[in-house]
Amino acid sequence: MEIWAILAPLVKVLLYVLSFLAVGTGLFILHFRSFLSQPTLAYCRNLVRKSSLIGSIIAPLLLLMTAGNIGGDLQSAFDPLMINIALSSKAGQSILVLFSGFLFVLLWISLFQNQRPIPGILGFALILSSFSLYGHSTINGFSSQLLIVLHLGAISFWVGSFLPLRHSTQGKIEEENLFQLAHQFGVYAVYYIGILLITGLMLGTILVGGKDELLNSNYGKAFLLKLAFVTTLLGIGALNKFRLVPQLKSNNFSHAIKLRKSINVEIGILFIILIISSLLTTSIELPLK
Amino acid sequence: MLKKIILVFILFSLPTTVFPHSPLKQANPMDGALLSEAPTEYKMLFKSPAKLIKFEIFQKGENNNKKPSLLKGLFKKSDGKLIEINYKPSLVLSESHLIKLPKINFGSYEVRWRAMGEDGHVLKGILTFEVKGR
Repeated sequence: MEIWAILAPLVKVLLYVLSFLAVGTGLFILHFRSFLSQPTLAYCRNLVRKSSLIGSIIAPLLLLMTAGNIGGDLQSAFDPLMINIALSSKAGQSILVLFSGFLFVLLWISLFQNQRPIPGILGFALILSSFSLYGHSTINGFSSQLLIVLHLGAISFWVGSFLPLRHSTQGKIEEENLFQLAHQFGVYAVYYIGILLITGLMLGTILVGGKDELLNSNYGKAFLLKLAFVTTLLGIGALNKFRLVPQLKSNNFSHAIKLRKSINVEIGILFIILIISSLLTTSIELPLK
Repeated sequence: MLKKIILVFILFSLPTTVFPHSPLKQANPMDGALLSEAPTEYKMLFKSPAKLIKFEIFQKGENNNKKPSLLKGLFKKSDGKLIEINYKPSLVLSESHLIKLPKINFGSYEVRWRAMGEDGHVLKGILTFEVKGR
């Protein structure tokens, strides 16, 4: 086994997590700023700043690793010819787009956070579109690329909202405005989850092929497993929306603790979904091939 | 919390570093071939167009059949002797690649190649052949 076979996927996974946090928590700030307490808003900004800063440092490293992986040895990572080949490849171009996306988000969160959302939104779009430039997402041209951008945008909102919501359950209940925040989150989540499900099912149909492939291929089986966890997550989300969130109205701290525990379970399930997703995009072959 | 999330995600994602199936349709000399004469060229036919970035040929010694340790495998390519062929990376996407070989002697050889597919993924492989004479 080569060193690149270990390093490159690790760095890639790290960039996925950083992207989801930078975009998702950024969207969370844009949607819910007026409901956030000062400590929670500061926590969100810090999360976006750290994610985009680390992302903009790691993305160039991934480019060097791509060059190293192309050449197959350590010297290749610093060989101008291999770096050039990496830059001219779709993988290299996607890294450049990702890097510029992180920079825009960093610029937005550091300088324009109060008034101008445009640099942030541009950064989100660049980060999300970088994942559509090569690999499985290009299988059906522009339509599948657009679907993947929308799908990842919805996932980011979900992933990036969990930590701020969890953080707001730890503060002083009377300061946090938790009921309003959780209620508004539930309203937005309906739209985002709608996008997530519609785009996910459409992508699944394009990538898996048909009912036979869904039931008989490894890719189809993994897809069904992912769908089962997504359904569980949606079930917990629905329970929170209709049972836990209305209870928060009473400003009773015990309900905030219940919500935090529920979010912890959701984070755990989300990890399983992300792992199955990464297997679907790296190790399991498409049935149509 | 951020650190924990990243760590757990990385740990669970480790098994995803698996690279199955060969992207080659054909190689001449074919993998494992026993030849009576030394080849003067090496032909590779890919299943879909690819840029052949690296082509290295190593002459294996008698002790080179041992499996390298995991750590050695991470950093070292081959225990064989590299044969100079001055291969320049091909930046053209093509299904077929022809590599001129220098004069080689009897012995076992290992070809290590790396290419880049149309979709930007790195393709790679190891092929062997042996020149035994008549």
